[in-house]
Amino acid sequence: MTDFERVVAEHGPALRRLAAAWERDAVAREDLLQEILLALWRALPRFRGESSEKTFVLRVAHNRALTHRFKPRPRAEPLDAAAAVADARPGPEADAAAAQRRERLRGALQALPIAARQVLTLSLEGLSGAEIAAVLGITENNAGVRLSRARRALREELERP
Amino acid sequence: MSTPLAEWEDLAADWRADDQGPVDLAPLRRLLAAQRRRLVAVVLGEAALVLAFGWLSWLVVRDGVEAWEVVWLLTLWGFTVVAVAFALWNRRGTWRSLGASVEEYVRLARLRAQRARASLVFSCGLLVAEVLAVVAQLIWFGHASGPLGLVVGSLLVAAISVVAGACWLAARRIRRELALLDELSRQEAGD
Repeated sequence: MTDFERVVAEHGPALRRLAAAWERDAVAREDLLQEILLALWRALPRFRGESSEKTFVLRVAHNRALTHRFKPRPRAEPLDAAAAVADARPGPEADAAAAQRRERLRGALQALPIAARQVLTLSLEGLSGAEIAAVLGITENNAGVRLSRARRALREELERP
Repeated sequence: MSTPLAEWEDLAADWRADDQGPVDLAPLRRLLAAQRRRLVAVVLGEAALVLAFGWLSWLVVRDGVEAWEVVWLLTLWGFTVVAVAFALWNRRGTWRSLGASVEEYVRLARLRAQRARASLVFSCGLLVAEVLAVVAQLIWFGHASGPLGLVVGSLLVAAISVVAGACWLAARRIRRELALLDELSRQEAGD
């Protein structure tokens, strides 16, 4: 197994979740995932261990997700259709209620401004304040403030009927 | 009201439980193979263009050149050198790792978009200069109304149409990119 294959095997689910947080449309989501993998394939040989591997992978992925937004937006699919595609593959999350909660969370993340979405997806992946700051290139204090406001915005979005 | 920590932890656990199995690398392998083929085609195409250009120049000078041919060749090679030099100069400082922080990447994306816009303005300016130079030469050397004038005139119209269309598309893309980057900056400043 090559280094790249190992990294994708390890962080692939996180990359897929990130793509889902950025793109509602299933085709655009898959397109973004492939772009992230391509960017990672190019960037990985230059990784010298200055940060944790997870931080590096998510940094590349977030940068690519941003560039992906430069493309013209396709017409958004209805939410139910997107959810059907997202959960079409069987997995350990067979629990329908959990899947529904995740879909609602994805929808809320997609509705938030990019800056909030970035900090929230990194936090949801379990990154610490210092790691989020390293990915975004901001101070730890700034990351904390941004995360706190983003969580508040997410809560408001989730509570919206 | 902010999200309580426990509730956030539940949300994060829910989020990370979404594991749809291993990522299929087959599409990426196909993408890489296609990119390699495209790269080879571009390199071969550029090499063929340079060879054709050189061969054409040699054909012209082989049996002695007239004054208008010298001016024409110098114009073509001159514009080519200027275009290549500008393209190389315009890319300065924009080649960085994709692994840079998001803030650094946004700065680079803005720089790239601004350089692309400069490139666009330069391309249009260069085209106008080339058209003026070629038309002036045709008139000066008395070829404007002959078959050469017709061929060159048709080529100029085709070149102007292609460049104008490409510039319009590129300008639209750059505007969209800069608008998104401005929006992101506004969001970050709002923090």
